[in-house]
Amino acid sequence: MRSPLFKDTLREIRKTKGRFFSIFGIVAIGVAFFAGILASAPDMKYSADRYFDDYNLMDYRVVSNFGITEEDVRQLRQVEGIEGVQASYTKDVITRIGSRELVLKVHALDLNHKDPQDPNYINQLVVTAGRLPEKSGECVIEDGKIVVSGMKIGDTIRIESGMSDALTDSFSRDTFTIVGTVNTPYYLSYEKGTSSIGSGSVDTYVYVPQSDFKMEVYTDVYLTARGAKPFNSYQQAYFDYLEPLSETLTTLGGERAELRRQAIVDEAMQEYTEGQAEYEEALATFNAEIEKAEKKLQDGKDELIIGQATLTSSKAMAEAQLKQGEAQIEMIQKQIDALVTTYEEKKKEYETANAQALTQKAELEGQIAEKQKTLAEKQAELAPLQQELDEQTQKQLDLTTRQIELETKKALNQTDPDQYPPLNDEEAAELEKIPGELILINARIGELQAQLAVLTQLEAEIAAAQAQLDLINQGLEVSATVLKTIDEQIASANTQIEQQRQTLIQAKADADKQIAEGEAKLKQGQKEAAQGEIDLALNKAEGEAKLEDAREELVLAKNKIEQIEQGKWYILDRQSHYSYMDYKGAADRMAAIAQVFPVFFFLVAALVCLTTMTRMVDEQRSQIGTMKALGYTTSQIAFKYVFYAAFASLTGSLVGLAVGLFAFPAIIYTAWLMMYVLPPVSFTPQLPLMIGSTAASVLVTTLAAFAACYKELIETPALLMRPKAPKLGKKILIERMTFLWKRFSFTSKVTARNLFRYKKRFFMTVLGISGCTALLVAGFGIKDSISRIVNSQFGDIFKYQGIASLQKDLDENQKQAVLDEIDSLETISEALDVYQSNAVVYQGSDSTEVTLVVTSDSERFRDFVSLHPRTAPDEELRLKDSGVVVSEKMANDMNLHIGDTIELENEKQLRRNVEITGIAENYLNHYVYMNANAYKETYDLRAQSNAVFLKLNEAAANAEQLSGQQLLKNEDISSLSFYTGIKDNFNNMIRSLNYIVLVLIISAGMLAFVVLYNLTNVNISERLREIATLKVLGFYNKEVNTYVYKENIILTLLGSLLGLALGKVLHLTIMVVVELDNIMFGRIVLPQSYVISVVITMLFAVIVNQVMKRKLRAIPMVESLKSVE
Amino acid sequence: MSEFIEFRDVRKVYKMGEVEIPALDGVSFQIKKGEFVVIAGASGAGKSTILNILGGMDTCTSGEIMVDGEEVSKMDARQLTTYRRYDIGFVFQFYNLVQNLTARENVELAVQICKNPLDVDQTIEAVGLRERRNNFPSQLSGGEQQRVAIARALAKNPKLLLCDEPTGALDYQTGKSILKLLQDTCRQQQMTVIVITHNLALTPMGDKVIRVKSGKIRSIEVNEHPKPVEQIEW
Repeated sequence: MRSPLFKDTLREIRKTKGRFFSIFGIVAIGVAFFAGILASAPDMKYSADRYFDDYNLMDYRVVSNFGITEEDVRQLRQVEGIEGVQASYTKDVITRIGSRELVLKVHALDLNHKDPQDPNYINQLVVTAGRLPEKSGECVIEDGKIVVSGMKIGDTIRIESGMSDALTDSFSRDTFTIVGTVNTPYYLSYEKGTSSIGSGSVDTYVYVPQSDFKMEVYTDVYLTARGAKPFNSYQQAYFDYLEPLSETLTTLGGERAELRRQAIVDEAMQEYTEGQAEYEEALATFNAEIEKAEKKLQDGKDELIIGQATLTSSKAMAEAQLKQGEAQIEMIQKQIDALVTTYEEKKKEYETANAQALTQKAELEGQIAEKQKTLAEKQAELAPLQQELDEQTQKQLDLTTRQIELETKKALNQTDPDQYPPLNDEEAAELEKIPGELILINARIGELQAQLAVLTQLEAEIAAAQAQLDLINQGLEVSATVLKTIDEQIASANTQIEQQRQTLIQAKADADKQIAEGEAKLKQGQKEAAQGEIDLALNKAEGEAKLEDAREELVLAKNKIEQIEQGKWYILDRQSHYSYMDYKGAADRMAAIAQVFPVFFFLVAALVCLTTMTRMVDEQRSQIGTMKALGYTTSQIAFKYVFYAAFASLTGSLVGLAVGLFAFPAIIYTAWLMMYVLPPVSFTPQLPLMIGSTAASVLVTTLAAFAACYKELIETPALLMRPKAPKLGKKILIERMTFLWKRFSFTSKVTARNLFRYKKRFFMTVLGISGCTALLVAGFGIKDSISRIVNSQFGDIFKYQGIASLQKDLDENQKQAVLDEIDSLETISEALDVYQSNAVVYQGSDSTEVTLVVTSDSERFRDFVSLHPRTAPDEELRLKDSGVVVSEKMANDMNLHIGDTIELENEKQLRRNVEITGIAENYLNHYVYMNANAYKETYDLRAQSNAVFLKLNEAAANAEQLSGQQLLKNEDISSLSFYTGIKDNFNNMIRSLNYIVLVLIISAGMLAFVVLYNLTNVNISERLREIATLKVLGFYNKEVNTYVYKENIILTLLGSLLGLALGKVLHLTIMVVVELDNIMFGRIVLPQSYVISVVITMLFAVIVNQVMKRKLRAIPMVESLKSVE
Repeated sequence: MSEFIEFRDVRKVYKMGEVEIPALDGVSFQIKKGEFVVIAGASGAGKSTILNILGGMDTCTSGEIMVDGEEVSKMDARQLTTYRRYDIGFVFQFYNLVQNLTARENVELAVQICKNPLDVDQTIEAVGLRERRNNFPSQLSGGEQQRVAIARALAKNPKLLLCDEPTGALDYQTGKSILKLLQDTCRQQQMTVIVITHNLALTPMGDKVIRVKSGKIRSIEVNEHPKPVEQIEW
């Protein structure tokens, strides 16, 4: 192939790098984009499947609502084609981390089978930190990405059952120490399905040693199939391979299930019957008790009436007694008065007598005094006599004494003269005289004594008078005593009467007191009776409510039994595995997006190639003519152009593949990693895609090249040698509008005419640029729409900022107390209690898990949740007494319309038909709203509030934190959540979207650059003469630039405008396609995003113009002198 | 009458890599205002180079060029553009009309950048194209197109009209009428007209004839009695 023709072709390429680059570039971009995006989904699936294989993800999961027994497992192990069997347990429990209540799915990790090589170690764990559990009481937790659980290695978690049955029914312990964090292919997404406890959705998972479970039967059995690993489980071949095994398992399941069914139904039926009996018993007891209470109340009332009567009569009696007492007192008073009169008469008598006695007494006393005087005189007279008597008596005594003495002496001397001297003479004389003197003295004494006797007589007289006086005195004394006695008697009578009176007063006081007490007692009794009545009513209501609960439970129990009838084994392959399917959905959505791009890129590539090649052929017209004249065949000549295009597109697509096949899947995969837990991307060779996209681009460009030269090639050489007749200048439509046309400058006129003269270029540019703008609009739009979710959901739709979940089994009073406390907080401006639970909507074979919100206060509910159609934000959807309002995404997915009837299964598994009365704007999760009356009517159950919507007081500082602290102290609030956390999480996610926007901007820029570069290139080369002439005419560079670029700018503008519309469509397509199941992305692109997209596109145009300016300046004026080729 | 244009020892050397090719090798001549000058020579003699340099489309390597008292040889690119814009009218061999503009618009294209242009319609009438003024170039014959080109050059009211083989692509009769138009213009409007041609038969019609050969002036003749075009045959 070293022919001159081939050399010419190669030199042509070397000479016309710009032109070559146009084709090369557009093909490279197109192929990179197309192949890259198309390869993303297979790469995503391939990466995931490798992960599944590496960590032995189960091929089947067998569950049964009866559980699976050891015997069942033995049977499964014997099934032909099964490689590994792992019988295991799972259980949803609740744990508390700070203020949050988390629902954990607890899995069992068999400590005997944790060697990665063990085929019976299925759904293996990838330890990301720490280690696996080694003994009882240890656990590993999810290495969470989106949901940060707040648990960390070393912490101890305590789990609760979250239901009425005790945790110990299922577990042998309730605390576990975290020893590691793990990932597992069993859970790819942060969405882990729903739960019947807690918030209703599983927040995260933990693995604990299997021995810490304490269940009678296995809940799950995981199976792997022999020889299934080499298949990519996201391809049909995998399922074809497993088909026979699936059938075997299903048959086995049917047999095993039947065996256990009957026993369980019997047991349940018995329980139900017992329950029924209990209920009836309770009902009877209740009625009896109420009757008793009513009777008691009636008795009490009767007693009150008797009490009233008794009180009235005793009051009368007391009054009568009082009167009697007063009469008695009066009588006694009279008697006493009479007595006093008698006494006073007697007293007078006595006093008279007394007075006489006193006179006598005075006389006597006078007499006595006289006699005593006389006595005294006599005594004075007789005093010397007495004295003499006394002296004489003394003398007598003395003399007698001397006589005795002397005689004694004489006697002694006589007896013993020696010793005793004899009486001397004097003494002897004396002794001689003494007897005579004694006689004299004795005579004198007799005399004196006679004289003294008078006195004695007087004394006797006085004594007699004295005796008389004594007598009188005695009489006086007696009468005084009598008088005294009388006085005493009067006093005592008075005392008596006083006493009587006192007694009477006391009696009256007592009577009054008693009556008052009686009245008080009566009042108390009445009060008690009223209270009793109220209490009775309350008790009755409470009792009835309890009975109603019991009855509802019976309804549910019966329903449960009905459900058991449908029970069986479920052989779940990967298609029933949430993470597998969820991720498959994501990959398929990605593949769907890839479908949007190719047509567009190939169209633009074809147009670019066509314009470029047309120009090239035009330029080489005379050369073609010469070649023809020299005798080359048409195909030999065409080869140059076809080869040129083929070579450009082949190299372009190789470069495009090299870049696109790695860059795009890597970026897209990384973006999806925001939502899925997966190892880094693995690329799978995609030969058909590579060959296909290369072949398609080469085909498109070579066809375009051939089309461009075909027209020339069929002409005769002679004609080709002559210059081509210039394309006719034509009047265009705007010229008819003379008034407008006149205002155009010449460059504008030329531009306007040029625009319509070259239609291929027009379409290429407009389409290419519109693609650029469309990509930008889509890129910014994705960001706008996703950002909008948070603000719309938590601002425009949910007008509350937090939810407090109430503890289960609170009675109405307790609930009211909680509400009262919340209302009293300054940090909370408003609160509303609602019933919120999980539910499932069925429509045909479709089902969607939703959150059911029931309010008993539709009026106030409007202030908390704004239900309105997305297209009419001001229109309000009212909750009526029948029917429901559903959220938009679900309605779209299930193709529901207002007026349709859906089946709504509530949290107690009751399935009822309801009518849709409205479809409301909503972005996150699915909701069904109804009011309490509608709920009651639908299920015949009351909607018992279990949560409180909270609106924070905006004026209060730190409202969220403060109210959180206060409310969590209340034991009746089980958990509290505010939306700030969700908002923050989402905003982080949106930040990663900048990646995608950047990729789109770069792609758009490259597209714009290639297209505009090509356009300018073609324009310049075609108008070389014209431009040179203008220069000769004296146009300044700037004027020349304007002359050329006006066209570019206008085409760019037109393209941008078209791009806005295209972008809107592209954006909508992408949004619908990538949407997650439970999140509706916004559909809006903000006005500024449109503006920015156009501005960026124009910027690209300006950059291209700047680059091309140099080329324009370099055009030599001498060109104008050349002959027309 | 002072010299309107003066070339003094003008050289132009093109460098093609290592090789230097002299296009003009010391050219000197003078032209008076209002003269009809014919520059004649064989292909490659250097006549087009003279025209390019005189028209401000190219610069000389050395020497001095004066036009109406201004030294063109010292002008920079922008000054040259201005010079072309206001002082020069150019008539090309292949007309170089803008295909997308009508005859009248092509004239206007030049006029709109001038300071003292002539009336567009009068100019078109003067070249005899009144009836065809709203036609596009592709709807006109070669002669008519060249008339438009002349009208475009004249309408600028230039000091100097440069014509590069104006009859090169035209048949005999048409060529003659174009030359007549140029000669008449020169005579009636006292316009300095320089015509470049390889056709030596045209030399009798010029006031001055400059012959060029191999980058040098072979002769400069002054015709005391230039012949009107009608009398020339070739």
